[in-house]
Amino acid sequence: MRQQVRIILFLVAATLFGAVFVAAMAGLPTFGDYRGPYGDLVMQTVLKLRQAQQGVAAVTFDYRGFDTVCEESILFAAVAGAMLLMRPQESEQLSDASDQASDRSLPAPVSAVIGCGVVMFPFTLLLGIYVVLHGHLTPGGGFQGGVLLASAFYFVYLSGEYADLLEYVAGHLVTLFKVAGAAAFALMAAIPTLKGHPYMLNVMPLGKAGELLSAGFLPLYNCSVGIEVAAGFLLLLSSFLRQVLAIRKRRPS
Amino acid sequence: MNLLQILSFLMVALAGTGVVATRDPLLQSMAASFFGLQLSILFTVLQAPDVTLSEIVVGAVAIPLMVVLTVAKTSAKGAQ
Repeated sequence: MRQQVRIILFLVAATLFGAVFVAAMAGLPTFGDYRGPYGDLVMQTVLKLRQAQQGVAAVTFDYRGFDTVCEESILFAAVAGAMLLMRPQESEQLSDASDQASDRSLPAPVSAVIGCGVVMFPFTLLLGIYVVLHGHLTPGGGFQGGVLLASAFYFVYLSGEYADLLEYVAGHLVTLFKVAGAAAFALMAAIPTLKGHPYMLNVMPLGKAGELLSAGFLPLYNCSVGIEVAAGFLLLLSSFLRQVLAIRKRRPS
Repeated sequence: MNLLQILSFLMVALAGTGVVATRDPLLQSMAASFFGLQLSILFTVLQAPDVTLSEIVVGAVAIPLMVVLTVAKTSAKGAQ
């Protein structure tokens, strides 16, 4: 009986929702039909006002730059929180990352895999640097380029071992990069306030559109965000790997 | 909408349904990786190359890797 009531309730609700949904879908503009004024306005003004070729970069770092400062600090806080959660606890100890399974032997390293890693590492690094530096000229920017930079180090782990990756994240250098990137972004954004301008106003010389040093603050913002995102993703991966491979419960002695 | 766009939209929908339908976290991470790949193909078809690059890294590699590592940590009996 209750089952039947449930089914009837579901059918009634599904019919109502379906009818409204279909009616709403029928009223949508067709695929690729853009009607809003904002995108057109940005595309008309971005070259004249900011000497930037990339509308998206100009919107994220200039037109609504304050949102991006918040987004970037959310990423910073998320990575910091994940690292805090995955630190070695008092009841745990760090051991070397040896294979725990006793019923099988380690497969020998394959030269083809190592070769792929050796080829991919420098080229991914180069592509990441390119995407960060040309964020205001071509599609890309600090967030996308930073992720690419970090993925270069993923190749080190994928084609080698945990110990190979550990060499890059040992010490505090990566953490410093991450903090410096986040701090540089927020501090650079505050420079205009020293002269009495609003926060994040693009007061740098704008240069000529299409050149590497143009669009004022945009390349600098992209660089600082790129460094922060790359270091953040690298730290995230290494702390996940350390948690799984190296951190063990302290044995009662 | 051309044929390529329709095809990649369909593949994203199929892969997404596949991720939801997979219940085992380990298998689900593989399905999520496939979903990330389909999504990056869709972004390429819709002419967003930068989003594609970050989607490949984040969606197809980083998130599945973190899920696999978490499964390894939480299910390993000898390591606890």
